[in-house]
Amino acid sequence: MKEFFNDIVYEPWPWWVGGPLIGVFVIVLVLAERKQLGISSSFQYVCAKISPFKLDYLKDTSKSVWQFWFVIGLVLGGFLLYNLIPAYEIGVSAETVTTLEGLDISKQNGYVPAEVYNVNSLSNILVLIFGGLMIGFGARYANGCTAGHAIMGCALMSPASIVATVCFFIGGLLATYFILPIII
Amino acid sequence: MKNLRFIVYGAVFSIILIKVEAVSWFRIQEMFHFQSFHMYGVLLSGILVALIGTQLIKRFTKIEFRTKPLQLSANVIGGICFGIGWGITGACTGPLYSLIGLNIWPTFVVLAGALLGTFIYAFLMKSLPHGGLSDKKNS
Repeated sequence: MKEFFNDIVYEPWPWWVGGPLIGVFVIVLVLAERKQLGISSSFQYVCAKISPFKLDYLKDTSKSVWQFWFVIGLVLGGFLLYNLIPAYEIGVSAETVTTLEGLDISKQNGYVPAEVYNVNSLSNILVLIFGGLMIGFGARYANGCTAGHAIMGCALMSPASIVATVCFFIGGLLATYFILPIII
Repeated sequence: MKNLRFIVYGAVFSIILIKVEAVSWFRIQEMFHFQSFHMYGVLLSGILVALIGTQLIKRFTKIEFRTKPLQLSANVIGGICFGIGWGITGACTGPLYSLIGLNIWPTFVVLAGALLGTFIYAFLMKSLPHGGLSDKKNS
């Protein structure tokens, strides 16, 4: 029992633990709060609050207030784990380590590679801004992200969400095979 | 103030994403290189459980769900753009916030980019195609 508890706290979870928990979370959010999971509306909310321009898209964000607090919680969850649990090795297949070495990216004891998430190099800053820009623009244009479309929307078998999810994947493959090798 | 409870929901969701390594750039690359079942398992099992749950909710409660309207060009072009950002940064929107909490400060640059991207969309919205690919009018 103690070992089981230790594993849950100090080790990463296998997909068959974390995946179903995501599904359970979605259901709890619907039953307890009548909310459908969605995260990228938080961008719209924040932009509306800081916008010096009057834009139609940023007019009414009252429905996204809960998402603003939700993403504050996402940051808090990371902060709690960072401070309470000692860092553990992130799992990744040996094959991927070899593939990434071809891009001069080494496997490190962290969630992101220092070669990409590096703010001491201007070119890396531009890569991160470009990546972020595509996330923000794309998620709002597509009307949802991995949470709202890939998980919630696909669970509801919504045609828009299934199309968007397939396209998220196409974009990811384009980035992986054609863009990352050039810009890193 | 009643919305403050969503901080707790967010923290719980963040802990799930982090513990199952969905916030890891390396896991996302592994997925796009088809080198492990891990992320597919996370997404597919998550969707499957949510699908069964929503079906049961539809059958046994009066709760109604909203599905997003099909806007072919918006879903396709926006989706591909989002995917490119996802592939480069290894973070979709949830993990973006989790990584900031995990003390990975360069993620702020990505978040700033995402807000900039949202502004660009807000400016261009009316001139971008949203409906069917042959549909000139915005839906």
